[in-house]
Amino acid sequence: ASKVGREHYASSNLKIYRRVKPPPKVNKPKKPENVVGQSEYAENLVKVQMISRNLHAQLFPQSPRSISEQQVTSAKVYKDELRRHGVDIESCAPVPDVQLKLPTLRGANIEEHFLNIAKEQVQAYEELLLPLVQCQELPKRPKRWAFFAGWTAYDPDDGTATPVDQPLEKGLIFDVEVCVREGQTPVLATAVSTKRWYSWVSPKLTKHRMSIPKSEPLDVDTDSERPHHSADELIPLGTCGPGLIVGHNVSYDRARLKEQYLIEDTDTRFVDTMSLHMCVSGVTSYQRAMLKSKKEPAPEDLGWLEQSSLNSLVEVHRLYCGGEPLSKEPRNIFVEGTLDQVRQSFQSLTNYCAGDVEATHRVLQVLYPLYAERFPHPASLAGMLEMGSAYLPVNSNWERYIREAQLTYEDLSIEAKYHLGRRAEEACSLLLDDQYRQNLWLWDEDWSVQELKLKQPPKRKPLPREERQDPGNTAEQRRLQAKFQHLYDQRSLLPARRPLLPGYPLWYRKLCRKPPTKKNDEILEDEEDSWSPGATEISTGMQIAPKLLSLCWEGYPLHYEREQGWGFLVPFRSDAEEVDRLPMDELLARCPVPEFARQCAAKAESDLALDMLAGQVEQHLGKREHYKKLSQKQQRLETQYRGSGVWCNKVLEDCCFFLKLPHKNGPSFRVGNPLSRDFLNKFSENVLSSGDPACQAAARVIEIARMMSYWRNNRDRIMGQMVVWLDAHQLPKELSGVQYLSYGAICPQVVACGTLTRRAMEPTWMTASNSRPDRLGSELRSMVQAPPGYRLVGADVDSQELWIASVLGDAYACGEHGATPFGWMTLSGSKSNGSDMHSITAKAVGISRDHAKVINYARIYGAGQMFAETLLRQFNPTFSASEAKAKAMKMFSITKGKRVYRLREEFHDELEDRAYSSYEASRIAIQRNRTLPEVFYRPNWQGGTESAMFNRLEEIATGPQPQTPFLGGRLSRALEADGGPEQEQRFLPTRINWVVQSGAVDFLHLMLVSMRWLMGPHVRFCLSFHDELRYLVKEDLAPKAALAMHITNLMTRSFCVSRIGLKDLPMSVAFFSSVEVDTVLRKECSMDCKTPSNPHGLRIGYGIQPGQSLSVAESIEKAGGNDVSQWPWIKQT
Amino acid sequence: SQDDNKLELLSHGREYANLLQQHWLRLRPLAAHLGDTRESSSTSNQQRFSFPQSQQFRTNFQRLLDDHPRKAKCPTLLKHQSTCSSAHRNPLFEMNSPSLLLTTDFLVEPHRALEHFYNMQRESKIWWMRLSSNPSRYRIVPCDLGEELSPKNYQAIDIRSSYGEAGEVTVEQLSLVRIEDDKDFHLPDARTGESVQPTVIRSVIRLETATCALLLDGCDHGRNEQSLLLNPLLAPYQCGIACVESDSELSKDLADLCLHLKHVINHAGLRLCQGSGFASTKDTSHLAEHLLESDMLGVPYTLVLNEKTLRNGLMQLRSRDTRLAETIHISDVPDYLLNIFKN
Repeated sequence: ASKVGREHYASSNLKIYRRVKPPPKVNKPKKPENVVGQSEYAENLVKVQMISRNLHAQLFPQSPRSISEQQVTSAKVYKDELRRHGVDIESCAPVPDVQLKLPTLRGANIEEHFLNIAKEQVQAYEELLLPLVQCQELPKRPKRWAFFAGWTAYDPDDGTATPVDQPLEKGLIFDVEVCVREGQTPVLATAVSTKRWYSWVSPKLTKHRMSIPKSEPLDVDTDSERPHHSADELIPLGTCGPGLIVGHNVSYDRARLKEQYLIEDTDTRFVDTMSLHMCVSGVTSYQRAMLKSKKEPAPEDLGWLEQSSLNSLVEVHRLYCGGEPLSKEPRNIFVEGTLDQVRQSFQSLTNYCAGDVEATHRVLQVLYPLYAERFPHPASLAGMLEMGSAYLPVNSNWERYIREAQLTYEDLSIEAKYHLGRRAEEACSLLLDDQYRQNLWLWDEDWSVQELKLKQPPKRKPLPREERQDPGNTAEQRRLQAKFQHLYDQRSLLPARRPLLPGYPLWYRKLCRKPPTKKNDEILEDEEDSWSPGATEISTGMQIAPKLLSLCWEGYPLHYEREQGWGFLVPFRSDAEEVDRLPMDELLARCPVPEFARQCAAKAESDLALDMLAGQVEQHLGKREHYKKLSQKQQRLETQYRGSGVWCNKVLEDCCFFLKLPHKNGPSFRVGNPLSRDFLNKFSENVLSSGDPACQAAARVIEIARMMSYWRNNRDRIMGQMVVWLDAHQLPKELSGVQYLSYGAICPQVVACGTLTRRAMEPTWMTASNSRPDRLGSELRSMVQAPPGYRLVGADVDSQELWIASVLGDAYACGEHGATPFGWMTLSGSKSNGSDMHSITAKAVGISRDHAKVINYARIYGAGQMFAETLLRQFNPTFSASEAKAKAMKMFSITKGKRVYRLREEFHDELEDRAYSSYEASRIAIQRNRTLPEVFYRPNWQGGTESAMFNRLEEIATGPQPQTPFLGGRLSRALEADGGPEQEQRFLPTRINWVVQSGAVDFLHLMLVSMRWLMGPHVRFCLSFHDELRYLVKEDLAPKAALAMHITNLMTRSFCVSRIGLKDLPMSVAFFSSVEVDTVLRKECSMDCKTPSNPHGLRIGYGIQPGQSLSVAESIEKAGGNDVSQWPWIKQT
Repeated sequence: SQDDNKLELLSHGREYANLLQQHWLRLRPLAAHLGDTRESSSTSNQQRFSFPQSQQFRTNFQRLLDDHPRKAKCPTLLKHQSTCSSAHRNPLFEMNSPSLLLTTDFLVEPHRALEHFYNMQRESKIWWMRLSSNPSRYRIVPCDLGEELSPKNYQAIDIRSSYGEAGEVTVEQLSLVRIEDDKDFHLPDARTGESVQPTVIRSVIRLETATCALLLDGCDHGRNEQSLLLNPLLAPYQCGIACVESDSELSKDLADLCLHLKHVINHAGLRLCQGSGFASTKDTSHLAEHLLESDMLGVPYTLVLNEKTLRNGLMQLRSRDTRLAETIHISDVPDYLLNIFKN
């Protein structure tokens, strides 16, 4: 292709020739051996640069590049279409070519290669798994369980118990029990192999001494509230692999296995029946809600309900095995009971645990064959096994991080509270001369005060004497004490329950605590609990807080109404006459009657009269009518109001409107706290602000609230991470000598396939936010730190899902990379010259690129126009509903295109065979008294940049047995269940989303397989979420691992395009833009992760240097050359 | 002009400085307090890190070993005061020299030095925040060390108090210096007993500068009222007494009652407003004037008595910050007041 193109341009004008300048060698002048000149350059018919020739020859050996006449003709059509959508195909600059000697493919082509290497990788595990699956009858469960600490093996014939160090077989079905109240460590476990049963009992339960005295694991001050686990509390399985453990939600059990925390991988892998179940019968969140609900299911739901269940072992067992439901009764002792109770019911609890093992086996027997049938490619299983072995190394900095985050959090909350308290004190003085009546925020608070009154003295009896402890030193002092003793005696006349702060307004008193009455009380009270004066009980969550901060929305003062929640006041009259409580003069001084309300005010007199009249006349007609009238008037106003407040039919004192604050869930919801997380961002947009410019406190309180929200929402999960600290003898030799730092690890409890689309799930790490300067604790990820001598190597797949979606469209519609506008923008568009898809959409619709990006993704994930509209309004509170609607519509017509219908052949005689709009189509169908599908084929998308992609996705998604494009994995039975065209429509967005996301999961699994092939045992899988992949590698092999990552990207993409019929790969997606070689797990190796809890950053605060970010060329150089085929550990055939 | 910026503490200011110093002594109470050290020192930026070589530091270290043998382990704390002759300028004002330096030396295990350093930063910042009328004005500013000082061995931050556009005042300096290869300078690690060369974290507060910074803080609050928002714990006057005598017949008794309360309050250890100990006012407007004056002096609370007090013992406790008064009974004095000033 390139040759044709090149000559063509060489003969055309100079300007164009210049644009296609040869790859700039200047980037990498030092390495001529891996960057070569023009001879390596290639581009396709739409001028997308393709992988270098040497790479193509190695990856697609049977498909030499060639171009037919027909292709040249169709290329013209593609180019026209591209131009029509504003794509300038000359605009992209070429990237340097790459020369690599890859190891020989394991098979005739890239597809066979992946099949073979994946097969090899799972072989050892399948050999352990299949006997378990095929085992018809498990060994007999022993009658009695031995109460020995550690492992016990049971003779399958007579049940004799023999203590063993660890199970003798390598394939086990396994279940652990934890006594939740006693902590996270295991108390007992059972396992079965095809040969015999095993049980494990914690020394804690048998009250044996631990074999090794517990050493203090950390150099830092240990926080007594959080337990510190050592590996010796966990269950040993031995270090000799490969081993295979089957369990339901097995990652929970895995986190309690000792060797999993060692830095060296032991090659034990885990098969999770829950993940298998999700693959075979997973459900959408809507379906999950249906499964949970106790209501009678609707008839259209019956189909899939039979094919699925919730994820618990009981439910999964019921689904696949039926029969007697499993009893979960004994589990309560583990959840609520003490160790003693576990001890007392040891036999029955161990039997319960063994019962779960047996149930897991029965599930596996049925489920695994289903899985194997539906996910035929071995890479799927290989990927799942790898995903289940995530490993996060940490050190003492983990403890420091938690401590600093917690302290910073406390400091900030004290600071916020202090500011609010000060504002409250200040506001108190508004009581003087009733000034509060003029305060726009506090006028409707309860300002009533209490008085302190003495009771009537008893008539006859003298008052009891109130003794003073110290009458004084001098005669004069004693005289005065005596003189006023009678006043002291009146203490008995004080009310028994003293009013709090007599003389202060009620709202303030509510914020204060009662002072201790007697000195004795103080002694009883805790130090922290000691009383202090002032509004100590105040917090940002209180209703008074936004008022004390004088908050405004779009410039109008906030106001709270019990029924509507938080809103704001907009005046519509310019006088304050007859306004009773509301400080109208002040409101008008601050906010003049706005234009839209003035229309009402201009005609105020007549309108008012008319309104009054209507009200008076209709009084006897009932309130309903009257309100209707009012709402009509408001409807008119509503169309003119351009802000984001929500009309709620509320007028205060006939002088101003009350508009609700917009709630993210929709206009019918009431906003309970404008200082909550959802609103914090609005402050930066100046929509929500303090109405008192002198009040810096408001800005600061809001800033603090924003800083604290991340930690508040995540700290329980973070602090609950089970960190297991390693003893010196458990560390590699190189590490045991390093003083003062402790090393440990977290085995994140990843569900290998946790969603319908088989994405992995884990609550803490997979959702971990990037570090942000205003987010306390958001340095979380960087606290995963490689031990000395190791590196974390990894990369993010560049716009993975966009590429998958677009390449499906390209392959389907044109058979050429980048031939659809969406495809071209994904491959060659760049942010810098505004030719990428987000920039183009943003420009076309007139919104910011960031907003366009979110909406673009939403659309590709299957979201509709309505959703885009909601997002647009959320991003731009100033957009009116119609504006948002127009923009969303425009965006959809540009991108997705128009839906058109084609006639079925039998109607070609009557009607013209052309594209019909959905309106036309339904009219034609109605005219003929037929249903739409009887007359027309399934509609197509046309004319948009993404039409081809959506057509392809819908085609896959609506097939009778949808399969992922790359590995041929099937859709969950819950969505596959046949329910007719209506069902199809109902789950269509989910299915479309499934094609892309599940395709991305295939992509990830393939990468895992490829990395394992390229690096063998030299990398340890750390963590992957969605499009990100990280490995732990010895320092000296880190550059090779980085290069392996780049090659993995190349080969995985080559496999994917080959599967969908393309035999070439664009250069722009062939390699990662960079692979990070770093010591900590951060998004980019240069991030210093400064946050409120890490104010000095990683470099100064923790002494952590920036990592390296390696392009493919740099990786080749650092890895010692481009001949990968010579790496000794790669098996060559 | 330059002279306009020159500040000098008068009697009240000196009293305030004195109270601040007392408060400093109560912070980190486990420290070995060495009292005044004779030698005057200067704290130019160059010498910020060279103090471990100074004679004064060595003397102090020796005194720790000799006078406080039980505290002579790592980590430990030393406090001392010294006079500094060099003038010190900041963007807002200049103080007359000499000034008093309050120095805390924290001797810590070298491998945990950074951690201690950050803890100390936080502790110190919180201390200032608690004394202030606006805790958000404090920030920690890392000092640029330049190329030649390795951040492993040297670290320094200033705690600065900011006054909007007017500028910032450094109220405390923290510096970390790692001592290496010094034979005279060893302490046993408190946990392992192993002998280590401690890393020193030094905190220096210039008393007079800090006092002025806190007084400025009390004025810079953006309120309409001209109150001086001094922390109740440090306010030179914590409490005032005022009475309204509209009936001259009772004025003698009222005066006696005020006098009595003055004794009670003094006896309780609270700092009462100056002069005769109480103010007599003729009517409410006169009282308002008096209260305004008290607010400007930073007196947090004033007891207001009137002739009814003579009958039932009820009086008003008027607060500077809320400008409202709470009714209390004579038998609440002084316990209630002590409770208020406890924290």
